[in-house]
Amino acid sequence: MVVLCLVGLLAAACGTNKNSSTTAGPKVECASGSISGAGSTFVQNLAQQWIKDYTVACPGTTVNYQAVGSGAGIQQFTAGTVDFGASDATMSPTEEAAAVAKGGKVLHIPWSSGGIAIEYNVKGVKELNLAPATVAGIFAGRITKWDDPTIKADNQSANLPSEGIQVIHRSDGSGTTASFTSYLTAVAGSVWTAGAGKDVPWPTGQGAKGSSGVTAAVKQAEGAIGYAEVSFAKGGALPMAKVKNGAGNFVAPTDLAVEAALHNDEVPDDLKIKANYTPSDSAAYPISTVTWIILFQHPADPAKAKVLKSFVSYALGQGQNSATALDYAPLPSSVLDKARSAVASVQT
Amino acid sequence: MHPFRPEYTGRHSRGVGAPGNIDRVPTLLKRDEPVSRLRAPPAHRWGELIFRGLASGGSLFVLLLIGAIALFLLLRAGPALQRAGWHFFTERQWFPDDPKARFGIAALAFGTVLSSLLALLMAVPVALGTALFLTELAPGRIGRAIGSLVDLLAAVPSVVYGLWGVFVLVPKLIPVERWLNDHAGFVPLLHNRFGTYGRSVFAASVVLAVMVLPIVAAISREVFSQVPQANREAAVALGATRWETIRLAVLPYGRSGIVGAIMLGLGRALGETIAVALVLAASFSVNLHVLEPGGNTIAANIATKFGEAGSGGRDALIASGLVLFAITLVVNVVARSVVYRTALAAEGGP
Repeated sequence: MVVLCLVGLLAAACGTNKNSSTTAGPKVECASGSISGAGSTFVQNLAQQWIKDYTVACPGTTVNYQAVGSGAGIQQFTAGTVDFGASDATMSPTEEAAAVAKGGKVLHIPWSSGGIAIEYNVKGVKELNLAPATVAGIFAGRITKWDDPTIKADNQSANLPSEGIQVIHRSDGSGTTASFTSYLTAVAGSVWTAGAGKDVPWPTGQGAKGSSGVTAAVKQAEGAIGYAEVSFAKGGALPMAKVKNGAGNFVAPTDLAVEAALHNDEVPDDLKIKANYTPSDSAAYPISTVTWIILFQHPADPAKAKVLKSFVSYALGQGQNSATALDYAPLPSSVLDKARSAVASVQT
Repeated sequence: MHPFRPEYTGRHSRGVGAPGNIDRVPTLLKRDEPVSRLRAPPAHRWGELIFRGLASGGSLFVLLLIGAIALFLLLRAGPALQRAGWHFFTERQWFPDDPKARFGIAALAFGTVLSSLLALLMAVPVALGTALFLTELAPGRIGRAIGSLVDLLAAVPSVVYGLWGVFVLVPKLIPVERWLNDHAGFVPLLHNRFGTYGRSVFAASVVLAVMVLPIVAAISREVFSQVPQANREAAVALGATRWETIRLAVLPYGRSGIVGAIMLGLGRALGETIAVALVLAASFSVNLHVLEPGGNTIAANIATKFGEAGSGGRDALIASGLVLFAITLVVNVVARSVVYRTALAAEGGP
């Protein structure tokens, strides 16, 4: 009896979901089977939403996604334990060579993006404008007080206290750190000398595990500043700094501002987009990250290839509508067009 | 055959002579397997064999398992150890995947030992006090109730302790840390040079102490409850007060057990991973100022770095795991010898 009721409930729930989620975009071309993937923690929330909606639209498919971290995702993909990897950084040449040796040509398909917010905790300061050199100065430990003249220069009206700045950064390796430090290196290389990467020798500050750890640490410490994906800053109810872009405007990390920045990026044919950290668009937010799904152009199992193709097409189609609500930025059409044709090239 | 010495090896072992006698006990014995059941009943012999096989097989399997772990660690750590050389023991930083890789366990091993010792320093007095209260002072029913509550502490998953540590304990500890620095800052250990407080080795040690507490308390309680009542009564009869009874009769008897309990607690603290990873503001410094944010441990570092580690990074992490394995092994061996010696001393002298 109970089981029947549960099945009934599920079916009912599924039914309503289906109606609400199939409002926009072309119908999904379904395939049946199961695929699994692993990688980026950044894309996790969105990927879970996609999986939920996709498996409702296509009963008979299962998609498993394990958010183990971009690096581990690439390793599992190359080892063949998962059908796709997801990463916030493109494969290094050695990583790619290893994967090619295993399964032939590898495709990097961008499937979402998001802004990296600079979150802070300063009493009475609701708005904060930061120029690139100021951000670099703070994270390099050269600017140590909130009422430093370089911060004051961009925040004439703010009541900045004479309080020490506590820098909070990631203690684990992270694609977010890679994007953030790439930004710092690109815009203020003379101030930020620790280099760019998933893990760097931080000149100052305290480490915290994961974006949620960074957000919690910033929230707890008066005078703290850190970086995390927009959704974490929002979840922690922390204010986010406006960052000066290439056009000289101070812009908040909204989804539109991130999308505007992506418009400015060059989209090479291999889709390994290199972020442009000084977008000229006046509405663009300069610190953002693209996240990729990584798959073989010719997956070994044709049945799985069909499901992969169908799922990624869904993500790049209707799936983009789910992005904004979860604080990701939808990809601009310039990227989507090329991404879709890359999916079309997957052989089944 | 001697009539008065029962022989349990022969077929007619009861020595009753004629086979006809067997028929007198038809309910017990069938005709074909007459007396043999009386000497070593086959069912029991099989049970004996199976038990012996299972028990020795089980312990052999544990041995093999430890050997396999050691072998795995050695094999996988080899490349990383070769790459780092002796710097592996002196280098503090952890960048094994860099083109110019530099990584070592100096800061990690230091942090592991420091945080574990601090945790023991805090947990052991409380745990022993709890155990003594439960066995010596508390009325039976209350003792049992509190005892099972203490055991419950051991059942809380460590990630829950970690989250509790980050979100509840650390903010509450900040004033305590500040107070310690202000009033006891002349002790180098308790001096904070930065004025920022929170996710320090001290905070991690408090979390570890809470995790170690139930283990030490539960084992010590068992140990104290083994003390013969006669020992206590003898002490009381000599006019000993409660504390004197505990000091004279209970503690000496349980000494080796207490050492064992503490060592098990230390093992737990050394290997604790996720709670420490969540609480500590990971830094790679060798710093005795335990109130300053920072510090790291081997296990926590493995948890934080594994997700994004490349192949070189993973080997390096496994090499650090080998060091942790070695530290735990040494601790256990030392603990064994201490237990052995105190047991000898307890047997030999007063």
